[in-house]
Amino acid sequence: MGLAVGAIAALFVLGLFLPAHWTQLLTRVLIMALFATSLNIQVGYAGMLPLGHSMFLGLGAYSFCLLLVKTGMPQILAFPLALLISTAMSVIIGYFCLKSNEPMTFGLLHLAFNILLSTLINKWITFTGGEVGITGISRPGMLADTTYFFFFVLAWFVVCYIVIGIVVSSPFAKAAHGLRENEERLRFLGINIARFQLVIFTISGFFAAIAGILLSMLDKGAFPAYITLTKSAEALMMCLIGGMFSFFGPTIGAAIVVVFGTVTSIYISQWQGLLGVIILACVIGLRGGILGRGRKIGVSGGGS
Amino acid sequence: MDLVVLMRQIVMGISSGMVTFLMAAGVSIVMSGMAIINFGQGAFFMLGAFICFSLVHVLNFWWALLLAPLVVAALGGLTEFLLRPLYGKSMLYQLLATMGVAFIIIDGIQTIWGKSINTVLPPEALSSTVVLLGLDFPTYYIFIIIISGLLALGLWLMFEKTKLGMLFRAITTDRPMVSNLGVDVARLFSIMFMFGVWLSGVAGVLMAPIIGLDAQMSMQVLFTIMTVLVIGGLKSMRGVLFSALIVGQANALGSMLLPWFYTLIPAALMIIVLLVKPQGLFGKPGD
Amino acid sequence: MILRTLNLDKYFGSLHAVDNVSLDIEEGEVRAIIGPNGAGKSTLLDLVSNRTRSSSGRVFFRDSEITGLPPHKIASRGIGRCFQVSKLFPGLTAFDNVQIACISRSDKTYDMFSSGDETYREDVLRHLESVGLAGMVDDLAGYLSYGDQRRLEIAITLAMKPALLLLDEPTAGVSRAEGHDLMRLVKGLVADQSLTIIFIEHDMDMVFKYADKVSVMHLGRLMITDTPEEIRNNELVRNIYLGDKAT
Repeated sequence: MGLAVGAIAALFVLGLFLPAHWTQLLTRVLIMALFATSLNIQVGYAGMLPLGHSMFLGLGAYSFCLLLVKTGMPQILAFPLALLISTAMSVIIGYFCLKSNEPMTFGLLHLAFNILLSTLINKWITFTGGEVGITGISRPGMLADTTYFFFFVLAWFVVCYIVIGIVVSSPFAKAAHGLRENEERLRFLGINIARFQLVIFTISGFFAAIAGILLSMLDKGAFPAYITLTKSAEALMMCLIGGMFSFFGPTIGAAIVVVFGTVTSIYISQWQGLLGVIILACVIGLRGGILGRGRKIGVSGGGS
Repeated sequence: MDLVVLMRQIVMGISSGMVTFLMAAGVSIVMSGMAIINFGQGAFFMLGAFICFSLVHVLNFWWALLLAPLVVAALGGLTEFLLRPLYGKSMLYQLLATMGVAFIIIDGIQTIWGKSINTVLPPEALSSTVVLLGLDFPTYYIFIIIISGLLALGLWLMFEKTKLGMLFRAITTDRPMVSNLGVDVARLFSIMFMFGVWLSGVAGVLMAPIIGLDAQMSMQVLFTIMTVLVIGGLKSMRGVLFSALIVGQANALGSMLLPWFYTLIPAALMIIVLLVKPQGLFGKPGD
Repeated sequence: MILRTLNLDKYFGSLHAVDNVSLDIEEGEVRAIIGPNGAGKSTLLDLVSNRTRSSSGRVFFRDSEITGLPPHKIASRGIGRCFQVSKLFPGLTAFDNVQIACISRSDKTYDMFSSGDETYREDVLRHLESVGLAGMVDDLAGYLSYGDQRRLEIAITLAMKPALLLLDEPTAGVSRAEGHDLMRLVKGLVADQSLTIIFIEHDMDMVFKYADKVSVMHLGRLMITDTPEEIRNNELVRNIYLGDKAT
């Protein structure tokens, strides 16, 4: 706890003194950390395997920007409205993905929806700007300044993490652990698995959408790169690298992936390959991730 | 509508469908036998195409057709070796691991060959057109169809008639038993995986003269493969062939008739099949 | 009458796993279901809890029909189930295992804002104590001994406060002494918590000692239901078992 407060204070100070493009990088790290953590709500806590999570990042960003561009409403209204739209879509998509109650089908449907939305966004040039995306969204008032925007994002980051933190220490989360460990047993304890998974799914999508909206504010637009399969895979990798079974694991993973990607792409052009190597190393060697020591999956006895 | 153009599209659809079938078959075999989804199949395909590009300059297309897939298969063997600690673990790990391999390959391609899009010319013998049923068809596409068809036939023969094929099938149904029979399962797995990747390499060489060689397209290719597998059934060879041809046609005709819309068809089809019959059109319940 | 099945049938392809089974269980009864392997005993329990959908027939629990209800609804109505291979949450502690049951029982499944660790702490500890696992509260369920895992499963199921408990071979794989301990424990709860128990058993000692009534199944059919004494002496039952199990 003290460590967390210290870290936030440190970030605050960093924000004050770092040059602009480093602050921007830090902002991106925070946003992607939120995105990765939202994914881990499904993966690490509930044992679900969403293969196309970037679609909620994209839905958040695109809803927000489209609302701004098409209706001219103020950003302070567009934000919650975009969030509402994205969360509603999350419920709908989640319902379909979960219908079969088969993990593999869930994963593939999730992937298919990701691809469908990604293709739609790329092709519907008149509405979404196609491959170019939506640009020219400027930040209102004080937020136009990089440092102030960083504090804005930091505030959101802290609030979201506190909320997520409360949720993952609640009875709800305990039941979610049960879902990961032995779905059938949970069912025979009287829990409606489909509904339970849908709630988890929606919460996860909700926070991903927040990340998407913040991302679009950072990049001043919405872009197809937000909704690619690669982005979905990156999110999974962040959870893996940092550790799926700890609260801050995905955050560490996000920091590594984002910083690494940005920094190395300046000095080496092969960052994607290096990322691949890291992932391989993590998957083969460190299956719990960096923060994952002491947590095992697949302990024998009482199988599904 | 011009009949020639239509026929040409259909032929292109069949040829791209056949090539996709080869790659999807590679994934399906590995999936059935080893319970691994090779998410790197698209990258291996591109690698095959790029190696072909280089070999064509040094030797010729025919040598490339022979050698490139072998090089790719060798890399597949290396990959299989790396993946061994993951057998039997959650699919997430295999997915991420093979994706990691894909990233490495994509980057490797860009390092070796640069980031610009390359092209390969089809071999002299196949560059013109051939006349079938009174219409002109680009010979190369017919060539692809013939070669893929032969390979598909060869696959079928291998599975049904040879010892190796029998072992492959046995592993699919009862792995411990095969091991009990004194068969070196580990080596069989190696061969299986390399074979699956080899198919991708061949696909890469076959498609090299037709597509623009772009490493970043690997994921797009993977997506097509996944779509075909989902629609046809992950483990059914017949289903994969059928759905590959359908998707190939949908893309070919769609790009002509519904240019805005057609790219959505594969994903939409995938969703519909998953909702209605998750094991694929030809699959058996139990995925 | 707490449980009634009416003409329950289950076909697996052409295998008639459960053949026209109709039985009645009284409240507070301890009913043993015995029969050779393949008789359809486990399948019958699966049909009652709708883990497997019946081909035809009906099930009534406490006067309302539960045929075809989703398993989670049947569970929350008060039917608890222990499986032939214990279904636990292996990566979680014994405490967490039972706690999840308590959470579900009290409809706190969607409570996202209380503290997860504190919820029902006393109840959980009490349940663990009642099955003799007080010393293993923080042990991972997957690492418990086989016998302890069976106890844990009973604790989890009891935490749901069921009215009817379905036990599938509760004493299989544990020592005689442990088996008796378990059955004594379970039988004791019948009075304490107004529980009804149906248990599948192969160990005739357990059957004769703890059951009020015994139902015999063979090839999917319910052959006879009677007191343990009568069953013991029954010619037909002897034949079914080829004389090697019935003492």
